[in-house]
Amino acid sequence: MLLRVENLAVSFFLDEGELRAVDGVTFDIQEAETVALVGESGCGKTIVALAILDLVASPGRRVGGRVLFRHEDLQKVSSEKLRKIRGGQIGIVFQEPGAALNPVFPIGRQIAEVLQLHLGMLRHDAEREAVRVLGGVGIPEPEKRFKAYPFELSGGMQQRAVIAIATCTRPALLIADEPTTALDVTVQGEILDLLRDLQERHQMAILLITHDLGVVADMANRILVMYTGKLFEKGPTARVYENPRHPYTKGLLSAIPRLGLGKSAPLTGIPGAVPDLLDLPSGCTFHPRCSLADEECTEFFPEQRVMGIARECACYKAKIT
Amino acid sequence: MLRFFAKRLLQAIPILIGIATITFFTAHLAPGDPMDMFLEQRRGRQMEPELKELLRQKWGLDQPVHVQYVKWIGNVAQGDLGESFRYRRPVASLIAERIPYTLQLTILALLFDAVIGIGIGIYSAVRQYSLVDKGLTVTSLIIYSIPGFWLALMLVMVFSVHLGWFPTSQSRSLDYDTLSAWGKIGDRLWHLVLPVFVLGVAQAAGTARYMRNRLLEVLSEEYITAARARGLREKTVILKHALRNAMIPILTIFGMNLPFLLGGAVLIENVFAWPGLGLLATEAAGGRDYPLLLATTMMAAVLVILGNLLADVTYAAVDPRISLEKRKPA
Amino acid sequence: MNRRPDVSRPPADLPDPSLRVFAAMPGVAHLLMGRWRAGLNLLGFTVLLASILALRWDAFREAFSSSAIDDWVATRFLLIALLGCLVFSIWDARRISTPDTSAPSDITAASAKARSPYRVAMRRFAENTLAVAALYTILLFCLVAILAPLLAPYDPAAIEDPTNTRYLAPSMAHLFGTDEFGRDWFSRAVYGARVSLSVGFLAVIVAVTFGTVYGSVAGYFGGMVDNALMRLVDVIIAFPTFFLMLMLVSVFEASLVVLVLILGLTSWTGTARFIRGEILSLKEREFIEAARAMGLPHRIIIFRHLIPNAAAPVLVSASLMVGGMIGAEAGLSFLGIGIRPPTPSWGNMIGQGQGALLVAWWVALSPGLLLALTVLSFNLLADGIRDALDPKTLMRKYI
Repeated sequence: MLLRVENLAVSFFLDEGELRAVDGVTFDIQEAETVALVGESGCGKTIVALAILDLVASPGRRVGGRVLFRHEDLQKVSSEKLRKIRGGQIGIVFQEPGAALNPVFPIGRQIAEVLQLHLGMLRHDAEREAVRVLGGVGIPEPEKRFKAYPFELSGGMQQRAVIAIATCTRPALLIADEPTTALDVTVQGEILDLLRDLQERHQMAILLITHDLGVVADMANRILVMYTGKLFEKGPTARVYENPRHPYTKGLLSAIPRLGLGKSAPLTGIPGAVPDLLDLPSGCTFHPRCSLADEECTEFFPEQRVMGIARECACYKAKIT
Repeated sequence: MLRFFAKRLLQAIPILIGIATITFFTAHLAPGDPMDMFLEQRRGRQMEPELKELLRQKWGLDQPVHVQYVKWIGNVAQGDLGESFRYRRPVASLIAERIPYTLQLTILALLFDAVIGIGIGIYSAVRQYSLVDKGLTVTSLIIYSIPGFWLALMLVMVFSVHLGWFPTSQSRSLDYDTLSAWGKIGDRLWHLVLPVFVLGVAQAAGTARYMRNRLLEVLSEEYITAARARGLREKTVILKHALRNAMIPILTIFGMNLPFLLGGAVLIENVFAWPGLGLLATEAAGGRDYPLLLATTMMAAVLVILGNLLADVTYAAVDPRISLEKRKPA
Repeated sequence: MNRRPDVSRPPADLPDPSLRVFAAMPGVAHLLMGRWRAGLNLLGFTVLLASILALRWDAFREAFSSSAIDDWVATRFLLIALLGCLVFSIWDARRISTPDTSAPSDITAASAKARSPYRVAMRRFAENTLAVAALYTILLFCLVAILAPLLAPYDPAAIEDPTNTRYLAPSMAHLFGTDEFGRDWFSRAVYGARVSLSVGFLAVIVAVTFGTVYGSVAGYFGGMVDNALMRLVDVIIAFPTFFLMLMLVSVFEASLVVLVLILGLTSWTGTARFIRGEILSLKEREFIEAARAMGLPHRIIIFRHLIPNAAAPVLVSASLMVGGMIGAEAGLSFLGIGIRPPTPSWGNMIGQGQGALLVAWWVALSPGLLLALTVLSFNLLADGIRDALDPKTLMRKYI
């Protein structure tokens, strides 16, 4: 097992009160597999990504659970070791490539900096390697682009640069947080192809965070469905798609146009809107939007139940069919 | 880069003309005849009307205002700023004598401002909401509010009069001429300690406030989280990735603060009898020495423009987004 | 944690009818009903005014019948303020103790009122101890300035027998000591507050008014007009303001009025730029376009939207400017070309202190402390208003 997240809970302490952004999230990732974390925006997916690397910033704080990377609790390792894991063992790609790159350093320097730090390369070697890495992520004329500043690149090229920074150390795990959302539709496919290609070359695992179920179908071995900071359903992608257990998952899937799987589509299959995290419904947080909900659902949040091979679901109404 | 510099230089020209124009018309808006003012300067000395008329002609005061204006602009462009009533010398040479003193004072104050202000700003931002941060924030607001000339007097009273650590005023000791070259520099610096401190500390207080807020803003940017996610040391994240971004607008702030720095220098030069442009301007204002007064004011404005030009060029040098304007996106 | 606004305080009642006698004293009724802040303010202010009246009764009687305008203003102000406290206190106490019949339990209306931006800002400001203290300090100084003839124990200009009273160190008789002419420094400082505050406020009014008009014209007409007007602003900004003031004060004879005009007319560029920017961005907005399409004169809409949007930032910068103006006036007077003796100003008092530095430290000390305290208060007030109105807005750009 590469990564195990156990009962992770993250809260934001705001003037208005404590906001539980991630609540009791448990999952694991095996070497070289792709796991998709799916949910509507604002459900806490990004916070999970940041919490894995212990990067949640004030006023947010991890309030429970643990993160094991290769059986080591990341909260217990030394800060020196944690730094080695960040960027060395676990790379991360953000949604907005333009915001994730430091605007005042050329992209080549930003890659070389990571190589010098994690692989102990000398500046000269690191720069040569950076050019090679830039070519490896499909940036044309890498020698020239080495000196380019982020603002000189298009969104797609920026994202390739971000991916280059995240993968240049050959990490075992890549966290990709909505890697294609901010990009043009034409570029989205290219970036996903690049991720698949890198995965094959480096044998790395990917935690793909997305709201786009079309992307998931193509890439992920397994899928985690998240809503209001909690996991609702887990299982192998193909089987979840064929036969979703949770009404929320069903709703999400019904919103995808069946024909062109792989195209992004707005999630309009569920009535109502995502609730305010400061003012969550009682019991199952999905019950006000759920057609199956009854009294039972308004009292306690349902436990995760095993439902089929390698499948779990948190719903009173879900049935093994 | 060179193009950018040239462009900026060209943009400064209309402003320079504007400055000369405003100064000229201020003098002509003044109630009373410049001639009479000159005579007033010569206190009570009666002058024969013929002589008065002669002087009038000599200075071109008999011509219409617009002719005088064109002539004045022409003269200024050639570096001829007229003759001081009081010193009976060309104003340009008087100013040339005094400018180095003002530059020594303001440049050192600016250095003090930059080093102390930015340093404290970084410290406060990194230790946000700590006791030290709160203390520094309040202290800097207090220092920012204390009038510099009064602070100067108080420091002179304590450090010069009572403790005798620093000279009370002037730019050199009595035995200055007997000192070696290094001794002269040391003597000058010793005289500069208090004026530079007073002038710099108020600016540093403002800089620290600005730097703290700016750095906090930058630290909440996503590329900082991204830098941490790459496993960079916190020191690298703050001193390299965040600081570089936070520093860029600080340069503009320095440029914008130049007028206040020079304005503050007037008072400080007066307190310490420091023979700079400000002291010259005050003497001219007190003695109604118009040619000198107009010229010093204009020179101060020119210094501000040059300072801003320098700030802009430095800005362009550190911010790739500006110097590379022309390069096409890939 | 979150403090929900106390939206609908129930009408309070006096605990005991027999206490009503005391309740006539301003503020006491409020205190009895648990309105601490209002009660202490009213009571404190009344006691302050009453004790001035009692302690300086002789001065008051003399000033009351004097024909000098400051005396007239000071005495009438004192009486009207005392009366005002009394009337307001009774009226307000009655308002609180009678239940509001118009909207008996309309909590939503009350809470909407409490959540209006203005209320929220007021509450945030009230929680900012430093800013509130600064506001009290400024109000106190204003009071001192108005009541100067009643407060000054000596004639500020009187030169008594200098051989006996010259350079007396601070004592009970002369709180701030005396100067080389034997003038009471405390009395001069009290009168100096008048000069400093009135110059500060008036110059800011001049600057803000001029800047607003200038910026409005530039922004509203746009195009060539805007271009020409803004080039002039660029030129003026290039001048180190203090040099410009120095030049103008020297060219024009510096009376109080001229000084106010000079300070005001050299400091309006920030306001002008801000107002222009606001108008330009308002012109871009859709509702303005829509109004124009419907044939409404869009200048009315622009200015109707400009005022609420721009009032707050202008208020903050005005508060900062008052501090700056007071400092500038002091600087000019310190150099001997602003307010000239015998009229006392904190600036020329410090200037006098410079000459006496070796023999009488107090001469320079007290006016400087007052000056620093005043400027600090205005800066704190500006900070407080800014934080109260909006922690992070566009204001940062301009201030």
